[in-house]
Parts: sequence; structure tokens; C-alpha cells
Amino acid sequence: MVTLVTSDNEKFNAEKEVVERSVLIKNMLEDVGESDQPIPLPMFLEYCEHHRGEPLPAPDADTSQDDTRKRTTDISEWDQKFITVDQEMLFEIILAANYLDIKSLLDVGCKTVANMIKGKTPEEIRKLFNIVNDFTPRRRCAQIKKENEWAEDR
Amino acid sequence: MAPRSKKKSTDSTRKHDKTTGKKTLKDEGKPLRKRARASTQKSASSKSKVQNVDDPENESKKKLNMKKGRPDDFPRFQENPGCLERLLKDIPSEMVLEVFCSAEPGDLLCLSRTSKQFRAILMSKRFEYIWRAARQNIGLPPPPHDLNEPQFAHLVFDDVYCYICKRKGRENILWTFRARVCPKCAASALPDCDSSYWDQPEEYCLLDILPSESVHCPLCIGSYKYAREFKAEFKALRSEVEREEWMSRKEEELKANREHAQLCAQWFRSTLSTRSKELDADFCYLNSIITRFDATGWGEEARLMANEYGNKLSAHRFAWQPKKLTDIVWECIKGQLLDLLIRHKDDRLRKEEANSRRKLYADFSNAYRRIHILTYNPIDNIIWCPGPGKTVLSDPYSSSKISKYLPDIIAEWRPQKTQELADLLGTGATVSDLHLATSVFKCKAYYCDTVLLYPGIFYHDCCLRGYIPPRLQAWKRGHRSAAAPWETDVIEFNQSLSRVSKKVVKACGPATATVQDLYDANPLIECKTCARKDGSRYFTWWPLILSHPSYHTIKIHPSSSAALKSEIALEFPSSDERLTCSHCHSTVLKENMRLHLETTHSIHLMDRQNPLVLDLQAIQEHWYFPLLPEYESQKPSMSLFEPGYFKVE
Repeated sequence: MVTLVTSDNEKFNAEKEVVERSVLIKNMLEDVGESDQPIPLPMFLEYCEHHRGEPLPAPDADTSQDDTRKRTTDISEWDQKFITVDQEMLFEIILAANYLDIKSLLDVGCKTVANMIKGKTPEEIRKLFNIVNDFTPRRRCAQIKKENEWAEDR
Repeated sequence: MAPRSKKKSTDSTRKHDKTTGKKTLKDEGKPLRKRARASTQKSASSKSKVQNVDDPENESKKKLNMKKGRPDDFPRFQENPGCLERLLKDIPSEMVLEVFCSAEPGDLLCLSRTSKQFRAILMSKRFEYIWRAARQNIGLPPPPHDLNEPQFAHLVFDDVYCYICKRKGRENILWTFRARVCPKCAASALPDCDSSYWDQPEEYCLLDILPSESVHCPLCIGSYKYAREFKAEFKALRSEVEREEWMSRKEEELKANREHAQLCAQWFRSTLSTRSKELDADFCYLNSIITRFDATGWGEEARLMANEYGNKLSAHRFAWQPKKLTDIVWECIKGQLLDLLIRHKDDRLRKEEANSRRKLYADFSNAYRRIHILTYNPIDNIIWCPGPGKTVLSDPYSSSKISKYLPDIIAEWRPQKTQELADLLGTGATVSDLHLATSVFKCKAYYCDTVLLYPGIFYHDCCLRGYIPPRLQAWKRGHRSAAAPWETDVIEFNQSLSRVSKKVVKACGPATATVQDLYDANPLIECKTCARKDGSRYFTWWPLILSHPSYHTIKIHPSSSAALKSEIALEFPSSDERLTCSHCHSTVLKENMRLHLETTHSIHLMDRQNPLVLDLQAIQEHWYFPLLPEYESQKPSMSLFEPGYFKVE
């Protein structure tokens, strides 16, 4: 058993197999070894508990492979429910998943955000991100023409 | 990118801490975008205030929701304007790029058109991996050698319109030419492969070098661009070796191009198929509706209804909506759908009850087909459920269950009906008198006049054509055996035929009294009235004499005149009389009986040496006269020979 302590000093006991879904914690445990000292970490026990036993990504994946690694594209029903939170919490989950190095959770978070962009027009995306269109209409025409360059020159 | 990929992730720079090493897109130098708001923190805090229950602003929103009919605890996760603003401000840039990697190429294309900043990032060669990852997410093959990732995304995902006429709609992707062209433009604007498109140097005009694509078989189109380019390239080559090399290279390129086009087309087809299935699922509220009904206990009924062909639930406009079923919508539509389900349940129970009765009726019919007593009150009561019927209806149907009830019912029914028949014989007659040969009945139904004897009288069709209770009309359909209650209304005791029968009985001796006795005696009966002047005498048999005019003078030759019978048997009567096949009960001409038995029933009893001779006596088990009831098992042992004229000394 491993004792986890949240930022507000709440303690949780969890099995080693569960918390080791976080590569960060796994590495920490490997570094520290068997110890009674509690590990101060945000809690993601629910997620890890649910995904207990699932294969972890290869530990030796380096940066170059990471760019083209196979991401989780299908979000399971449970994950969908887990991730159905307000935007603030969603971002917190993404950040924490990145910090704890839980790839599958990070994928779920990123995919959820990506789904919010999915199928939207540039104008809709601008509204979503609260950004201003700094393209001139002429630039836009040129851009389309450039993209259609081959077809125009048929 | 992505420090999370490092093996040891304990690096302090990667820790999620707003006060320390957070690195956003903004921090990378240039501001990412112009801000519509001063601070997202402010918006975030106002948002959190909205979610505070005690907040008066929240109270007003709550009232607004109540006005709209939304439940108070309705979970909100909506893509409000600006909801992703924090993604760009507070989230590290590598995480933003990770989100982009999870998007689809089409969405990246749209993202790149939102602002110069995004365009600069996404169109940068440095971030090409984002496009690659996005493409791999959806299983799209890599772009062809002459297109980069954004161009390929544009071809596949961008606004779908014909690159020639610019109209949206029916365009096809010509993967070989990397273009979207509608069929009309493909046929009119692009060159046909069979025409001047092949106006190429003769060195390679017959080789498979120029790209072509089949649009609509047999239409195969090419491209003037390629034709011009190839021609110019070829003419620029000086040596023969260069030309050979060029041609083999082009052949290889075309081969690769076609393979890629095939892969893309395959992906496109599978995507369309998947999307079609998704649309079917997404556009169908039905499953969500059924799931919601599960909570109210109507789920099973909803499932039953949805599985029926042409049901009103699946066809209901609420069941097909291009959105997910939300709580608000559910609150609005559940009343109407529940009414639908209640009506369906009533109908279903009514139909099930009717079907169970129909089944019971059929089972009774099968169990006791010979006697049409199904409309008899006790069975009627069982079918319609008072008394013991409840037991039958609630139990699984089985012949054994039914046969448990039948004997008692028949034991009650039969004496009642036989007594009715006995009453027809006249006052003082008893049930035992029905067995007498003199108890001859005749059907008085229109065009029937069938002579009837006991017990065959129970199977006469005319007795089953009376009044059918309305509630049994429905069950009658589909059951040949189902009929009106067996009634004696259409039959009468026939005095004159009874007298004929009495005369036969008297001639046969004191030991002969019942119908069976006369069958056994089988007397030869001669009609004196029918005798011809040429000396031919008319002989017939019992009970066929009963269908002979009763006012004719008859003479009975008792069973002792065996010699006479043998003599008549040798004289095969020539007539067009019809016989009834005892196997299929169809009426067959006598001369065709042999053929009928051979072809229909594979019975070969005839003497092939002398096929014209039909020995009726030898094959009596295969035929009978269609005089008395036509049911095989009730067929009386008919006379050996049909009636007719015989010249007997």
C-alpha cells in the first residue's frame, strides 16, 4: 500500500498497482524504494482504480516517437462520464495527467477538448477561443487560392 | 515537445504549478492572439460565482432555467463562447499542441484559418507532426508525394465543392488527380482518355504513363495538365537512355499514385460507412428514449414497441433528432411518448389475449378435429376464460392439457346431440334407434339432398353452416375445421327412404336390423322399374339404393344369391361414374382411378398385362362412392360394385 497526500493534507491509501498507472509515481516509487513516507500528490485514484491492470505504455518511448505515437482516439463510456466536468476541472485534469504522466488520461482530456473544436468553422473556433480574426478578406482569398493551387492549374 | 515523454518525469520544470514553470503559447514570444477580455481569470472567477448556489446571480439564472423548464440540477457542459480561452492562456504550450494532435486534420485546417498566429504555427514545418498525428488518428493514408499535409487535408476535409464549377453537392474526389470534381464537370471539362488526351509522343503513347481515373464506368478521364507536362518533359530529354529512364520512372510513379489512390478510396469508403452508422446512432433518439424509459419502468414496453415493424415509436419525430437527448428535451417529450406506450400496451395485451385464445382454439381443433364441437358452450367457456379456462390459458399449451378436458366435454356434448337426432325420428324414438337401418336422414339444404345415416351424419358439412357467434368469427379464419356449431336444423328424417330401407331389412331376414347388419349382408338389389326392354336389368346395392328414386319398385336378392353376384362382377359396368379416392378424397373418373393411384399415390395394383381391366373388388380399400360423408375413417364399407345395368339370365 502507498499513502498519497493531497495538497490540502488529506491522506489516501492505495494499492501500488493502482498508483503505478502514473509513470511519475512509478518512477518515484522506484527511486525512493520501499518507504513509509507518504507521497504528496493530487488524487486520481478513481481513474487509476478503474483502469487497473490495463497495459501501460512502453517506458522507453522517447521524444521522437512520442510525436507519432498511437493516441487513444475512442473514449470509453466510463471515461466519457469521468471527463464530463466543467471546463476549469477539465483543464486541471489535463495538467495533472501531464504532471503525473498518465498518458491515457491525458489523451482522454485532449480528445475531449479536441472534440469541442471538431466540426466547427473558423468563426466558431474564434468564438470558442475568444480570439479576433486578424486576416484581411484579401488574404483569405489568397489563402484558399494557394490551397487550391493544383486544382486551379488543371 | 512534450516533456511528459521523458523517462523521469520528476523534473521540476514539468510540475504543474501556476506560480513556477508554466509555459504557455503566449510565453513563447509573440502574443498568441488579441484578447477579447482583459483576463480569463476574471471570467473564470465570474463563472465560478455563477455556480455558487448562494449567489444572487445564480438565483436569477435558476429562475430563468425554471422558466425554460430545465431541472435545477441539470448538468451544464456547454461550449460557451470563450470557454477554451484558458487553454491558450494557462495551459502549457505543449499541452495545447497535444490537444491539436488529438484533433482531426479538417479541424486543424479550420484552426489555421482563425488567426495569423495559429496559421503560422500550424503551417510551420516544425509542427508538421501535429498534422501527421491528426491524420493518423483517423487512419487516413499519408499524403501523396506531391502534396503536403495541409494540402492533403484540404483535399479530403475542406468545404466540399467542385473545384471546377465551385458548386457544392455531388462532387467526387479524384484521388489520382488530387481534386474534387462533380460528375458533370468530369464528363465535360476533363478530357476523355480515348480522345486527344493521348496526343503524346509515339515513344510512350501506348505505355501506361499518363494518369487516368475512372469516374463513371466506362468514362475514364485524364488531365491536360499532365499531358502537357509529360510531353514537355519528354521533349526536353536528349538521349535515348534518358528517355528510357524517364519512362520507367513515370511508370513507377503512376503505379505508386494508383496504389495511393486505391488506399485513399478505401479509407474514404470505410469512413463514409462508419459515419453512416454513427449518423444512424446519433440521429436516433430511440435508444436514449428507451434507456430513459427504463428508469420509469416502461423500458421493456418501449423495447417491445420499437422492435415491432412499422411501430409508431420508431417512426415518431422525437425518435429521430440530430442531437443528443438532453434532460430538457426528455422532460418535454416524455409525456407524449408515455401516452404512446400506454396505448401500445393496451393494444398488445388485447392482441396477446386474442392470440392465446386463437391458439387454444387451434389446439382444441387439432386435438379433436373430427367433431366440430368447438363452439359448444363448455369449450367456448374455456376459450373465453371463465372457470377452468383460466387454468388452461395460464398454462403452457399442450395437447395433453387439452385432452384432459375434452373427454368430459365430449361425454356431455354427444348425448345431447344424439338425443336431438333421436327426436327427429319421431316421438317415442330412443338413441338406440339411430343405429337402425331404417333411421335414414336426408339433408334439406339447398342443392344437397344427401342421404345421411348415423353416425356419419355428424360429419355432414351442411350441419356446420349455421349461425356463428360474432366473437368466434375471428377464430374461424385460417382454420378449415372451424365452423358453426353442429346443428340438426338442416336435416330431417326421410319417411320414404326409411320405407325402402325397411324393405331391404325385411328381405334380409330377422337377424338384420342395424346399418352395420346391412353392410355385412350386402344384398343385391334390383330395380324393376329401371329394367330395359332389351333385357338389361338394373342392379344396385345398399345403401346406394337410398339415392335411387324411392318410388321405384325394387326386388332384393339376399346374400344367398352369390352366383348371381359373381356373374355380375364379371360384367364390368361401363359408365362415367365417379369414384372418390380413399387416400386423397378427390373425385376421380372410374377409368382414371388406376392412373390416379399410380401417379399420385404410387400404388401399382393393376395388371399391366391387361390394363383395361379394373378389378374394383380387388382394390376396394382405395376408393369409395361419394354418397355418404366423405371422411375416410367414417367411410362405410361400400358395396363391391357400382350400380348399373347388367344382362343376367
